[in-house]
Amino acid sequence: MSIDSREAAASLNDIADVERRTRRAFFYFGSSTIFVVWGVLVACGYAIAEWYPRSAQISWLTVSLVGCAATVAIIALRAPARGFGTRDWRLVWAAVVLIAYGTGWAYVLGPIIPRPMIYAFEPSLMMLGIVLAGLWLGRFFLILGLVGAALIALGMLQSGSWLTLWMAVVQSGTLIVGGLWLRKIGVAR
Amino acid sequence: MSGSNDVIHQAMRLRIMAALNALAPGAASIEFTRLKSLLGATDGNLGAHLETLEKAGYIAIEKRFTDRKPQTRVRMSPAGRRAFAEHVAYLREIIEGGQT
Repeated sequence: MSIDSREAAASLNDIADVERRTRRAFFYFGSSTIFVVWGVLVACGYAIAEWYPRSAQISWLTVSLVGCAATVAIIALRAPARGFGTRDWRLVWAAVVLIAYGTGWAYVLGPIIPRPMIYAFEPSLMMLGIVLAGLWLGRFFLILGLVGAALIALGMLQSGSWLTLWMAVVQSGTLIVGGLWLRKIGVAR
Repeated sequence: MSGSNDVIHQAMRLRIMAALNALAPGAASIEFTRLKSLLGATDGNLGAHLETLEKAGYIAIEKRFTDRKPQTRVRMSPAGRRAFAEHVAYLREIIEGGQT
C-alpha cells in the first residue's frame, strides 16, 4: 500500500484525536469517584453543622481535610494503571489550594459576615474550581460549575430560612449528580 | 524505513489501535460497548475489525460474565503496541521525508 504525505498527516491527526478522547473518557470515569466522595462528605458537613452548630467549624475543616486526602488517594491508586501525567497532578494541587483557600477564609470570616454569604462562599468557590477545570477538561465541567454557581446565588438571595438545606442539596447534589454523569460517559478500566 | 502495516492502516482499525494505545501498557483493557461509543462504530463493524486485529495477534479479546451479564473486554498485546508504534513512526517518516 502506498501512502502519501497528506494521507499520513490525516492518519496521525486521527490517531491524536482518538487518543485524546480516550484519555479524556478515562479521566471522566476517574473523576466521577472524586466528585461523589466530595458530594457525600459535603452532605455530612451540612448535616453536622445543622445538628451540632457548635462543631460546625471543626466539622468543615475535617470534611476539607478528609476530602483532600481521599482525592489524592483515589488518584494515586489509579495512577499506576493509567500513567498519570504532570498535568493531572497540577489539577489536583490546584483544587487542593482552592479548597484550602476557601476553608481558611471561611474560618476567619465565619463569625463576622452575614450567614447567607458565608454559606454561599465555599460552595461557590468549589463551583469556580469546577468551571476553571472545565477550561481544560471539557464543556461538561463548565456547564456543571455554572449551573451549580447559579443555583447557589439563587439560594443565597431567595431561600431564607431554607438556606442550609438549599446549599446542602445544591452543593452535594451537583457533585453527586455530576459524578454519576461522569461515570456514565466515562470509560472504566 | 519500515513499510506500511496494511492491517493497522485501515481507518477503523487505526482508530481502535489508537484508543487501545492510549491505555497504560499491560494494565488496561476496555469494554466493547465503551470502545464502540468512543469510536462511533456499530456492533458488526467493530466486531469484524477486532477479529482481524486479534488474528494478527495485535489485540486480545476476553469474554467474561460480570453481574451475570456477558462482557467483552479488549486489550492491546505487546506485539500490537510494537506494530502500532512502528506504523506511527512510518507515518511520521513519510511526512518528514515527503515520501510516498
